[in-house]
Amino acid sequence: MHARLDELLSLRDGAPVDARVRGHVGECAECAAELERAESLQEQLRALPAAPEPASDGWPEIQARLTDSPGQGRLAARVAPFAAAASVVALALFAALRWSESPSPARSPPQPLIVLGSESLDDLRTRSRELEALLAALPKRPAVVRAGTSVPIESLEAQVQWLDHQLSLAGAEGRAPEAEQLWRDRVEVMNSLVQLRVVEAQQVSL
Amino acid sequence: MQPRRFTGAPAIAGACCAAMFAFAPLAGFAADPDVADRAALEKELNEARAELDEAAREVAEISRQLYGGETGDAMRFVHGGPRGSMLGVNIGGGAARDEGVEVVGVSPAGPAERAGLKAGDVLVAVDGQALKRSGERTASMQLVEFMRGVDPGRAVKVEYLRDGKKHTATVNTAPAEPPIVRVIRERIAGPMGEGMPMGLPGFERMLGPDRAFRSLELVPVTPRLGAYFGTDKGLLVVRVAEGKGLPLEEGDVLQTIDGRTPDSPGHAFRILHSYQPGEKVKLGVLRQRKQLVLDATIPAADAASNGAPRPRQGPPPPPPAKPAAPGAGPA
Repeated sequence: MHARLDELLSLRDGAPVDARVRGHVGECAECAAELERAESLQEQLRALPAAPEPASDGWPEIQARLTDSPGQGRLAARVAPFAAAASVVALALFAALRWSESPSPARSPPQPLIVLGSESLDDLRTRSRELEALLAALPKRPAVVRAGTSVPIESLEAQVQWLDHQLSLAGAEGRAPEAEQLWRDRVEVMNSLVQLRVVEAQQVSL
Repeated sequence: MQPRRFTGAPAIAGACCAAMFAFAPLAGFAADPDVADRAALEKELNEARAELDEAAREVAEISRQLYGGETGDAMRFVHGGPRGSMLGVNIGGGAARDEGVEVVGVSPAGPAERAGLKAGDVLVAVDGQALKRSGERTASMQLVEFMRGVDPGRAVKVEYLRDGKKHTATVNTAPAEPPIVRVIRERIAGPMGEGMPMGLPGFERMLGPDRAFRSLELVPVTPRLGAYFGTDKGLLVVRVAEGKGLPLEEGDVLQTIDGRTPDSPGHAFRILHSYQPGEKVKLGVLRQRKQLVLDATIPAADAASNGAPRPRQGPPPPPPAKPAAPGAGPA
């Protein structure tokens, strides 16, 4: 079995990792590539300015609230417990920063989290895992539920569940061409779900 | 029914981004209320919600693309019944194994996630049946075949390996059917379900942002809330839909919709979305500790305003001096 994302991130960060996992990553080209990718992400994060310019509006402000230390806002406080998994949040930060990589006018909207091109099946799986990690790092859904937000979120969750069912069937029955399109659908639906959940969390923070 | 090419997500992403963009200044308000112009912020909030609604319309479009475009296709699923149950895991593309099935992904908010399963776990048995390769039948195929025979919604016991240790979990499975069918079933379960005299509302109404309901806010009654409102069951109405919507009031506890008991806000919204505008519905509510049955007509989308939240009506009403006598007023 391949190393999980959290195991790879622990390896990257020098945290204790089961010796079998460490051994596997040393021998498995796929896991080694994943580890290298995680290290690369970290390097890019380190290369960022230590104190980003405060933004008057736009996504960078949300991004800051997602990653700020506790006490600097209600959303940040909600996210803080999840920040214990610092590597996951770092991934979230990196993904978020992709929205603001290029200098842009204060009011220009951020770019979508993921824009799919001609990714390989492995790439799609990786994106899917990253989006799951992002979703797991978000605060729990609010107790007070607004129909306008809840209905699309629950619809997307149900869509992912149905796609997972289709992927399981396609995988067990060896229908590879169909599986690739299903993976693409999953990444796109997950992408929308993550973004709606971020918006919902932002509403709660108000 | 084959999956269709999915092309809706980019539009959703755009709408979500715009919504987040619109929310960002409000985040600034939360940090420094003294310098904020509340009216402008309310306007921003409304714009953000409109963007969310646009995203939700795209969700309905996804359903059209994935499941056939017509409710007739979904109805074939309804009449044919679900083909077994789902665990809410993705086992497609995992490493080939002679024993066990690797969980590649866990569906968000799905049965397996609620039971504590995670990506990377290896399922080794389900309801006592070991998942091992047998000739040409892989462990994955055996799991798929087993789940086809599980009655929709039945709980199954799964054994799985995590970090080399065996664990067990009880997973309350979901019927193996597209999401749209779940909403259709809500309508069929209603008292007028036979033949569905008003027809189906269509994808957009069932999964999209119904303007008549979108600002409705509900919260499950907790034991402490229950002590205040005189019940331990139901959904507290925190904010009502604006315009000529349902005859609910803030502080009501919604307990039944046409005889069905919603078990969560999401369930309540699914039930409401399964009706056509103009259909009659009976809402069982607890108001000021009195049980009432409200006759309501499902409003048309344009009965509501633009979705802007109305100012809250102030704190919930004080509880009456004396609780209602047990059994008072039929619900």
